[in-house]
Amino acid sequence: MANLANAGPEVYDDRAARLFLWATLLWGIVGMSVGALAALQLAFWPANGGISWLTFGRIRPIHTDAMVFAFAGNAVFAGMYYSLQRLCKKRLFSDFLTSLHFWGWQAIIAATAVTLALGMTQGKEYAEMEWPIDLAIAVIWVVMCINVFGTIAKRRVEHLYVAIWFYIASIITIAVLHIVNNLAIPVGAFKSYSIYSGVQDALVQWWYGHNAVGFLLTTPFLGIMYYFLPKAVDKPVYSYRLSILHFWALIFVYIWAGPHHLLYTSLPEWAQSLGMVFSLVLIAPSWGGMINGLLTMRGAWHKVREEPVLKFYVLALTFYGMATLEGPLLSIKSLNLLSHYTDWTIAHVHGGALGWLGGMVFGMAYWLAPKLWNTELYSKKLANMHFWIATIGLLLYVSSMWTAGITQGLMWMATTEEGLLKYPNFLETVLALIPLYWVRMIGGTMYLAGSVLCVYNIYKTAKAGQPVDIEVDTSNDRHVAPRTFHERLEGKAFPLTALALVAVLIGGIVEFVPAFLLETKVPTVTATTPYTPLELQGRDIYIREGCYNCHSQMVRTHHKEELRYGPHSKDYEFLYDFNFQWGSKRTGPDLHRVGKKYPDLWHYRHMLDPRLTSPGSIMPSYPWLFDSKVDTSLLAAKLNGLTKLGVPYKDSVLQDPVAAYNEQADVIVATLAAEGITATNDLEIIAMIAYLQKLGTERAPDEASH
Amino acid sequence: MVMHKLSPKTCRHCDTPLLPTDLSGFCCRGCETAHGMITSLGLGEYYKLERKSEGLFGKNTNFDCSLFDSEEFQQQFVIKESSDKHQASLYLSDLNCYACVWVCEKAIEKLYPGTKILLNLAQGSARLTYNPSQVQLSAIAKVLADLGHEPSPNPQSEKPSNLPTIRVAVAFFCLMNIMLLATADYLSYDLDGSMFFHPFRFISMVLAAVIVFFSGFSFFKNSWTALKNRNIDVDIPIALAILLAFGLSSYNTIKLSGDIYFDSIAAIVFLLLSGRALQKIAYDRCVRSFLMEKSQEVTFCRVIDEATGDISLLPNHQVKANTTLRLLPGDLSLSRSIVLNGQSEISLEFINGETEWIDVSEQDEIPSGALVGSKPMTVVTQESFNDSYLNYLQGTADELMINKGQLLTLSDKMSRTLVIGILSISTLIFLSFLTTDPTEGLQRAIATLLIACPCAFGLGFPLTIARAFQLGIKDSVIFKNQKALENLAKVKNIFFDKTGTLTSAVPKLKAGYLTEDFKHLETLKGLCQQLVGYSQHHVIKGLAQWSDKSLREIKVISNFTEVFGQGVSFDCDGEPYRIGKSSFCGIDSDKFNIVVTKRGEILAGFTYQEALQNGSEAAIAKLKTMGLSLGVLSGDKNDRVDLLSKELALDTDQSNTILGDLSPEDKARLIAESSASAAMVGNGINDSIALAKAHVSVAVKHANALAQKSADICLKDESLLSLVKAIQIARECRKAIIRAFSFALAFNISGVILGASGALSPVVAAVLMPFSSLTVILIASRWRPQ
Amino acid sequence: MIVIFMLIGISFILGAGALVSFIWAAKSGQFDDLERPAEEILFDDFFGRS
Repeated sequence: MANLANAGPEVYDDRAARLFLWATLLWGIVGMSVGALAALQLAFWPANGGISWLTFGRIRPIHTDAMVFAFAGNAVFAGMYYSLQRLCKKRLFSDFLTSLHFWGWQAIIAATAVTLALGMTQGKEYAEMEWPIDLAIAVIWVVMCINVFGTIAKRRVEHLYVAIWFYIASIITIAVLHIVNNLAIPVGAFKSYSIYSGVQDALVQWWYGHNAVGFLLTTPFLGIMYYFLPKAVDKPVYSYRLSILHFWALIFVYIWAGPHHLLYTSLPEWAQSLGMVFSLVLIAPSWGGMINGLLTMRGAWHKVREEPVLKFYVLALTFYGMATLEGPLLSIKSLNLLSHYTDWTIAHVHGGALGWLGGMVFGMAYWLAPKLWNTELYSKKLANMHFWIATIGLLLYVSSMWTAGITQGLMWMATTEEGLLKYPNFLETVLALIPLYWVRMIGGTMYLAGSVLCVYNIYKTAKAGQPVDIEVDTSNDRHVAPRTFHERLEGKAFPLTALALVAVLIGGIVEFVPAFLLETKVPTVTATTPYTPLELQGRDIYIREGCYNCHSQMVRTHHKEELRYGPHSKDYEFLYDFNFQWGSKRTGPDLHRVGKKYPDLWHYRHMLDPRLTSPGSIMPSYPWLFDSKVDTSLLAAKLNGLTKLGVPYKDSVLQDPVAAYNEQADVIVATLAAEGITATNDLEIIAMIAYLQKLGTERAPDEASH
Repeated sequence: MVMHKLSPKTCRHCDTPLLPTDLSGFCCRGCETAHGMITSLGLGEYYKLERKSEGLFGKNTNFDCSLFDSEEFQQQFVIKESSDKHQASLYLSDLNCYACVWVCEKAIEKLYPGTKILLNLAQGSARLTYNPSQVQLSAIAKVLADLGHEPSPNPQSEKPSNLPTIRVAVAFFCLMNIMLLATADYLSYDLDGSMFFHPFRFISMVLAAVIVFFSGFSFFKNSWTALKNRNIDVDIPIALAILLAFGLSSYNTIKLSGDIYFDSIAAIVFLLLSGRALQKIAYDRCVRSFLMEKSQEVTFCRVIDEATGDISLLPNHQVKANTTLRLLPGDLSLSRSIVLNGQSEISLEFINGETEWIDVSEQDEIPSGALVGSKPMTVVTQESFNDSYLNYLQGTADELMINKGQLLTLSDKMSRTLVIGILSISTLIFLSFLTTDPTEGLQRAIATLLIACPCAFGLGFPLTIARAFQLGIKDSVIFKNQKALENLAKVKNIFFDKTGTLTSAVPKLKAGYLTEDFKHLETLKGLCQQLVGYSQHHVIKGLAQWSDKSLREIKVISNFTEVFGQGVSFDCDGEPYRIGKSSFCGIDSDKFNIVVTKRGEILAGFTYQEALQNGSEAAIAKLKTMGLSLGVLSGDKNDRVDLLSKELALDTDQSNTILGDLSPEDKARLIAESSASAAMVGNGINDSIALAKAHVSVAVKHANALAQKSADICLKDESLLSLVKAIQIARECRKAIIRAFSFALAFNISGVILGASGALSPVVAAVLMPFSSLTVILIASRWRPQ
Repeated sequence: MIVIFMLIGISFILGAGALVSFIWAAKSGQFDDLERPAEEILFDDFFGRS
């Protein structure tokens, strides 16, 4: 893969940084606009204009995936490709792989946006893309690995600066996380079922969820901080020894802290406590990074007054410290009881995202643009204005969500003296939040406005400047021709080990895990039965519409929760839930005990227009469920796939699934007809009703009385 | 509008402020040469970089690098990988910022493209890969010296092994994993029924095996060597506790029932290893600067081959009788020898401390250890170096240092008692339960071993010592080892050498005779100020101190030459001047020690007066208040010694012994006769035996290499006040050790009683143990001398 | 809850991988000089123009 343009002296390939910087900023605007729209819809529900691909359930995953993979992802690649070359004193390994990586990644983002809008989703947070896109991500990630490890292997500087270690750790761990969490059996072009189910799926998902945040939003940005902050302040990092120490500590401890997303759920209690303890241990390494960053600013604080770059870095580091303290505190069980499923989690996420990520990305952009186009920043005043707008927007967002979160937490658990629920009707708790949703929407839009200013500023800078090739300092090249066998091996060892690790993992997991999981599928408890074809179809519509974005399906093991929803959820109830739907947010009430709570008619009218049955509700209406027909052609493939995963379907169902489907559908059509509703049995609403009526109805009899 | 104060003109190379009237723009010739080289190689950016460098004061101008080409000299630090590829590892002086690294690497790369050089900023060293046929090592050494970073051999050519760091990392990895799997036990979830109970235990067992036998291997090795030569070592109880606890836990794991202590074993190993790693880092940083200077000691002499007459280099100890040597000004004559040809002066300053010069010419005899004066000479040795007086001084110093090493330090004694106590108690407990319930007995014995954990001495003492080393570096005092620290704390009386220790090498000059013409006097003072930039000779420095710092207009000085031991001659405004000994300046009367002449006609005459080392009065006064009796032992004449002691008000207290005219042996004898805890502060070779003999020895800043070698403590700062600080640090360190030890003793005794009585289960013991280490660490690392 | 073994297994492999790379780093001299890299990164702008 010789470099294409290697005539003349070796120059840095800054085209990569320029392209990824543009991608970061543009996708940032797109992601934030979708976020603003979603926020608006919470405050003012008709804002989706009745269009199916604009409802909250579908655009929220687009917002989260766009911000994580498009905004933060592209920023990581921009920062990494710019700094890696300077730290290795070597042009990138291959221009072809760089462009393949860039265009591939943008194609993946576009595909994700389109498929999620159409409802083709796996229903697992931050991993919603369907299996073809997952494969594409794996391929592009391998392309990047070759490019990065190749550059490192050919480096001219012996020492790997700490930023490079952060990049390496992020790349390898994300590869492993992505593969393990997205193992699924494809049953259709854009439909698959995860090989794990219920509690196991939850644990793997949140092991991935926490570490994706850890290794895509923290460690690479710490790497970026350790390069771009000293450069912006023109002072060495405060203590290089501390940065090495806190890197290795972070790497060894971070990977254990997944289960703190599942406190008080039906996960075994010792696993929950394990997650809590190790999250608390995480404070030390995270704060090591923050302290090292803030102290690097020693002697340059006076410059923060005029320099927008330094303002953003200070914002980033302070919010990094706050978020990495708030996280571990939220993972303490007693506090988690109040904060779980509430908007406090949203405040924590956005404190970290808008503060730490936004701060680092915009700081890096304002510092990098003049360098990439060899000119001055178009307007420092505009950048400072962006900073103030963004900071105020951020504070509005986070404070409103803190208030909303605590209000929800307290109202849900509030009881009168006699021990009854003070707010039995869940809707009361939602309506109390509407003003806060407006404040959050305003804060988010201000942050978006700031980002638009940034894009304008960078655009004018780029137009004014002219990119110039910067020569690589090829002197003092450590890379003397490798003489001993060991040195030749070392040159190739790095890429080889990385790829070997990935290959072994894929091979090992895909074969042994399904077999390993299957033999435990012999139902020890007979209470739960597999989803019938009709219920399965309803469940897939539930996943398609992204209902988990507002509803949870997990009644927690706490008496006040049981007071509101009924007996707490047991792990065996989710035995056949491939792609578990426990959810992580309750804008709407928990649905795990909704089965047979309301008549079919109630669901029929509620899904048509929620205001009919619960006046004031902010839930969008789903009119398209009443006219589009269920496509039963995929039914056979779905049932075969689930049988492969060990679900014990009876042969009669497997031979003629459509018959079983129609038989159950006719029952529902009959009950609706009795109420004067004419509906055919192939409508999507029928399947939806069947699924909703089954939720939580199969608890083992002995405990049912509780 | 902010008015920027007009910053005074600074040296264009090293930014030291210059007299506003200075035209040359350089503070000294050294900076001038460095600046010249940098600009000639087009590395001008160097001056735009942010750099921390001080004046070179001509250090690099007279750097002799011919030595670097000789085979023997290269032997200690050059690896000959192949005929066209040699690897040399060097120490570089004053490497204190990346700018210096950048300029050295760039310069070498531009001048000798084939050569690879990699500088290590942390260790101040450089690794050089060059092709000997293309470039001479001495040429590279010259370039580095010109840039202000004089190279010297770095014997550790192979890198120190990083096995200890790897062991600590493996220990951390195993500890985190074991604790992860044990969290369920901590939070008292009974996993007994679930399918995770036994698999987790087996994984923990495997991890514990890794940490005990890989990371903890050093404990077993130390205890094995200690047992082999039958003395008690701190690591024995540690190794025993770990092995026993691991054995019992593995037995319980395999037996599928009973308690396991894998996490407490892992915690002990990790805490102890990291404690020792911290001490090593502090110790290395402290001794590294000392190692650099020690390796610059030249141990070679130039031998003339009668037949061909060319000069070759020979290590000192290979010099036999009647070999002809070539002595250059500033060399030491190795053994007693006769001058063959050439005529010069010699001084016995290093032998008896007087600084007079004695003229020698052909057939005169030169004693061993004489310093050669102004002109080079060829001599024939009468005895081999091995039985020369100089070697005798060196030999006895080394031998005394070695047997001083055997004495146990305070912390070793304390830990021995603690170790014996713990071992006997735990064996007692085990035996008492042998008959009734052996596993319970074993359980309690392990609990006692664990709770009486060696954290106090395993961790507390090393950290206290490391803290003392660090405080020492901050106050520019180098403690060469733990014994120096502890002995200094117990010292009762201190003996000082006079010349060079109490008195400053730069003499105080009293103007005996001055021409009346006032104008001459002004120009003379201006001249003295300017000369300091050209020569480091202590006479010139004395003159500079004499002429107060008032401003004068600057004279142009040309063809400045310095004759070693005699004086300097130069032209100023076209007039030839000479400053130096009266014989050198052509004046016959020797009324004055130093004369200044213009065109042979005397302008001024000065007499010597011994100036006190700055800070000595304050230091002596402070030492008296610290309850120490002081004494002066000098080779100088008695009257001078009495004069000095009067000045320092030492003679008031009768117990001080003030003696002059002492030979090195007398000094050593006097110290041996004095009470046990005596300290000797000195600088010359003549003090080396006394220094080695003394309970604790201190070498001052400009002490001779041999004295520094045989001293326990080296002061890096001119003033003696750093000696006072050293004593304060040593005394506070001793108190900190006693505090740590008493806390550990109290903690252990209560632990042992609880352990023995069975009220303390090993798990609780394991949990208490980290708290005891934390408190010990806090006590050990937070103390500060008043 | 078999998946816990799988998760701990994978995390253990990742941890062991990190340990192996730490040992490779220590052996290949990444920790020999911890003062130079911090200042060296500030100098890469010089070479573009020198």
